[in-house]
Amino acid sequence: MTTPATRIWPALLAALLLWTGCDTVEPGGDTRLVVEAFLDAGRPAPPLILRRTAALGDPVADRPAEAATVHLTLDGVPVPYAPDPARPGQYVPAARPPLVPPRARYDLRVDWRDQTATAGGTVPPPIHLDSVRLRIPARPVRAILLDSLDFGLDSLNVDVDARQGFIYPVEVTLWWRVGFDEAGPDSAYWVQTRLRPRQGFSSRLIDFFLLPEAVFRERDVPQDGAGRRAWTGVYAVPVDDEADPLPVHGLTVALLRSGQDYARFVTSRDAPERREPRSNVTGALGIVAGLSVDSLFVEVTGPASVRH
Amino acid sequence: MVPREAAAQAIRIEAAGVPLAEALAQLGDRVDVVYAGRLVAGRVVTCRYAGDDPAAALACLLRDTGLTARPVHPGQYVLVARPPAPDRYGTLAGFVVDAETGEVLPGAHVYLTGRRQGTTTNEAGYFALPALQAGAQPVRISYLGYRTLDTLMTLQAPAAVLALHPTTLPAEEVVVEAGRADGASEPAVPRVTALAVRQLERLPATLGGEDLFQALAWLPGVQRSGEVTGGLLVRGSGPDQNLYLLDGAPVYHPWHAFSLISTFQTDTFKDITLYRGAYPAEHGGRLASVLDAELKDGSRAGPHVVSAINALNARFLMESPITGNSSFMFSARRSYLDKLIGTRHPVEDEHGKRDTLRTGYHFNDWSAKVSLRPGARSRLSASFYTGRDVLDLRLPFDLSLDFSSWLRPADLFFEVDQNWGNTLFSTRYQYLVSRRVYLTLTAYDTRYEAVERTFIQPTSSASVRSAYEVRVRDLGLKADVDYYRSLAHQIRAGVQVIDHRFHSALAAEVARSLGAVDTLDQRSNRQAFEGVAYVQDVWQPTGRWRIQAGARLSFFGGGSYWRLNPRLEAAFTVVPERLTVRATAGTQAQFMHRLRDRFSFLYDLVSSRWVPASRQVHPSRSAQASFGVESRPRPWLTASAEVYWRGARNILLPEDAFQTKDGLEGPGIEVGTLLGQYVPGRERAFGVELAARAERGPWHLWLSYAGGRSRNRALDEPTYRPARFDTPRTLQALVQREGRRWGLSVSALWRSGYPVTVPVARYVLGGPLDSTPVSYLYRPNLNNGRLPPYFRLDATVSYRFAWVGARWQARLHVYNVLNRRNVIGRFYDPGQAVVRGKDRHGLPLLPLFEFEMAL
Repeated sequence: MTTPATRIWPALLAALLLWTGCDTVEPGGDTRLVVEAFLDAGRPAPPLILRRTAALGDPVADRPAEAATVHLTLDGVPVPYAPDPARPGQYVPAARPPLVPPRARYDLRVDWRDQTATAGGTVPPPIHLDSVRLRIPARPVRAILLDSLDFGLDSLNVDVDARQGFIYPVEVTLWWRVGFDEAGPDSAYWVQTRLRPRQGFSSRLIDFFLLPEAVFRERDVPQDGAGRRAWTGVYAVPVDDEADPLPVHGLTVALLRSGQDYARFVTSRDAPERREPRSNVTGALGIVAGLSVDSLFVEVTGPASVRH
Repeated sequence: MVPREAAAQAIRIEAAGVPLAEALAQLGDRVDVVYAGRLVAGRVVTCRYAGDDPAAALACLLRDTGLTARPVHPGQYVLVARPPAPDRYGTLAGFVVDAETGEVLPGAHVYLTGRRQGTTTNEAGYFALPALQAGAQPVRISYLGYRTLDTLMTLQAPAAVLALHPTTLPAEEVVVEAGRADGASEPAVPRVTALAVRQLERLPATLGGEDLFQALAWLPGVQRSGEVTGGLLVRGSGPDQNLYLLDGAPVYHPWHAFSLISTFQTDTFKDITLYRGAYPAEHGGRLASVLDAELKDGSRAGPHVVSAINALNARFLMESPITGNSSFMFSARRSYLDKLIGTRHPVEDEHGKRDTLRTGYHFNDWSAKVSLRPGARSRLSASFYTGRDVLDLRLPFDLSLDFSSWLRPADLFFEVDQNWGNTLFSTRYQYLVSRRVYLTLTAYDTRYEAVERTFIQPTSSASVRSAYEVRVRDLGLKADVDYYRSLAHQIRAGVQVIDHRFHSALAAEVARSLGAVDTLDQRSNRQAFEGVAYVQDVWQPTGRWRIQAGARLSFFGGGSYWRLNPRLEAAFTVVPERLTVRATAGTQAQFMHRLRDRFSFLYDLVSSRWVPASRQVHPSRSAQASFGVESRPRPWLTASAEVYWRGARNILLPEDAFQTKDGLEGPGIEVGTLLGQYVPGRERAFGVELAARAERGPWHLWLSYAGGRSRNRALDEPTYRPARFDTPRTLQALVQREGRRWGLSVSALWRSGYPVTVPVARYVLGGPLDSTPVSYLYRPNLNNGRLPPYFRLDATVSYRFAWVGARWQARLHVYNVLNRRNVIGRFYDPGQAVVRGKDRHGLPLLPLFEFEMAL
């Protein structure tokens, strides 16, 4: 006997079968604005770089965003910006750029096509390298130079490309002082350190273990007796043979202070094949950060100590 | 008329319209019956009986004859005219056991065919049907994988022992007897997926051999997360939302070989039940499912030995009676690859320098159970299980297939010493307080422990040394009481207390150079008390309705959380033994979250780390509802359809889905730090599951389709997105032919590809310390795309033979017969001129073997 229920259930089941089977891929978004701006404490208001996203099939990834309007205020004071005609996508202060005051509140608004990007924050106090010390071993050490490692249980892909060589592991210690009371907003700063030799050398494994770069919360680093904070990193200088001396090379030591937004940005930007950096811009991609940078260029000629 | 004895202890009768005198004459070999000829003259009887009770056999023969058999001596009866039956009521009770091994059969269906009402056996195989009028009652007992038994039971008899014969014996050993090969469509089937062990053993495992979880993946709505690895996903849930019970004790990490196979060895169990959806109130603690497995008690019939070897491991099982009222089971399993390639490799270079490289990995399981029956009313069992994975490596970095290039002393090397596993001890005492009251007490001690030790020497001056350990320990005590109040009401209630202890510790030294050394010494200890009380009632108001209502009240000390979870299931038999519809609804609570650090390589590499609910993190909650139809249009065909919906909240999702382990020291092992890597979220899933199973002669056909969606979102996200393993469609098919000697099985799996996050654009962005900007891919939405569909065809050929007094079986399993390179991952490189996905492929064709010997 056919009842309404017996007629309805097969229909409902068929509808559910179709519903559960439905699968859609979300379409890609339109072209997005990408904002890049770093306001360095005590320095002139910087150029802003505005780009736009490009299609995956576009062989040129670096596309400028032109004809945008930029509104920047520092502690409530407007700083007019205008496009740099010589550099598409760059926007510079329209008049003589004012200095970025430490601890100044900044607010940025960019209008481009139908998109509006906003970002804001506070410029941190200036940071200064107090001292830098290099320790260079007398002889190079043996090191494994591993460029790639990919192993998965679900597949038989095993791709190990390792070789051995010699490196000078150069140990660099840098000191800086904190000239303010770390209370309230001043207790939440992050520090980025970087050791960058002029002759680039990159090995995933070596970088992984030696630590030529770090990002950490500033107050987590204990102060020494002189009220200074210190960080020690190591970078590698490769040589061909165990008997080779350390090649003369230039080294840039950088020290940067900023807030949590910048820390999240910089710690998420070193694996571009896996992810994009975290943005703090509302309505667009990119990063707008107040920061303070100090750097030192050292000509490394051999075992020596350098003081700044 | 065919009255006969099929076995020494059994009486089997199948009579239709046969003169009573003739039936009694042939029965006389076993039972001495004295009667007057006038009493039996002209009487014709119809009876089907199988069992070992002469009184019941006679009662069957004499039913509706007006006669009764009165015992005068042991084994001797006299037939007299039946006196008028007094108006008397009593309880029909008994135990259902396996006819071959004597193992009790929990979950067997006991059905009063005359009244169309019934019950199921409890963990001890016991059942009781109270408030029945005196006299013989026709009873049908069925259990998946066993032949249905139709028999007569009398109130006067003590608790009967009813033996069921399995249906999956080799063809030459099948005993044809009264009854029929039964499926699952009795009206009193609770809403569970109960698969007989003998049936599970027949289902092909992904990589051959026997594996419970791989067999369970044949059920619609149950899948593995990876191609051959990964946790169980039940109806779109996460792998940490399942509770795995072994003799009542939880197993926290039921995996071996990096989740390639499970710790549950199918042939060591007497009973396996997977509860999905709104499971009974006696179970709880997880959101999605409960797998309840009971180790074998040990054969009571005689010694039984099985040993087997396959590509992954070798296993051994022995069971035997010890005395007339005790038995034991012992099993062991171990992988043996390390025995083939060796674990320690002494090497020496041309300068005489020596070293010992290590390539050790193995896993093993040991389980044992001793069962005692000190009296007819009580039963005591003690179970032990331990299983471990051990990885021990000391290798140079420059591995390659050219062994001669790296089998030499190494200055730069890495050492990995990891071991992890479970150990549990469970003891259970069961006591028949009265025919209506059955008490079960369970006490257990279960531990999961993992140790990860690492030493890495990447340069002569840099090294990393770390030791990390995780431990979870539960001490539990549980009491359950079955009260058979009436034929309409079967009540079960219980209480449980659990002491949870969580420990993790890390000691590490990271020497980047001689002067840059970081040390880490961190420790985390937590403890939580959990108390549970539940009550449930199986109410059968009529022969067609079966309503199971219950509630579970839980208290969790970490955060002092109280949770009340109601459960309801209603089943209505539309056509007896042909069509049943069911609806279920219920809520669940989960007080522990399984999390893993997402930053550091120094810890949480292989460990499962459980974090108890606290003030910082709330328990997860879920609600589920389902509606289903089960039908058996033919005796050999079973079909089912079910729709479900489930929602969960306070689940933990990664705060940054793109974050993977990419550093050494990480944020540390403190629970608060770990929780900071996750955010609370919600999850919802719905779907439909269709299944059909046909068994006819040597043929076995299994078809299933699961369509469903599973989505989740963090609380601060506006919309739901596909969950990581969202699978809209899954279709599985299995065809088996079991001959006398040869067996053939072909299985196919087709499913939608898993979600993948597809970039939609690219851009460049610089940093304040950069000289050149970096290219990135814009991925605005997680899981916005999908991999191509996955398809795989497997085949198995087996051959049985007898040799040197043993039964042997050789089995060849071919994984991925078509050698289809399924896409299991897709990656995008922003450095490409034109960005295209790069695929990662699954396993190719793999031939795998197994030999099994049984005594």
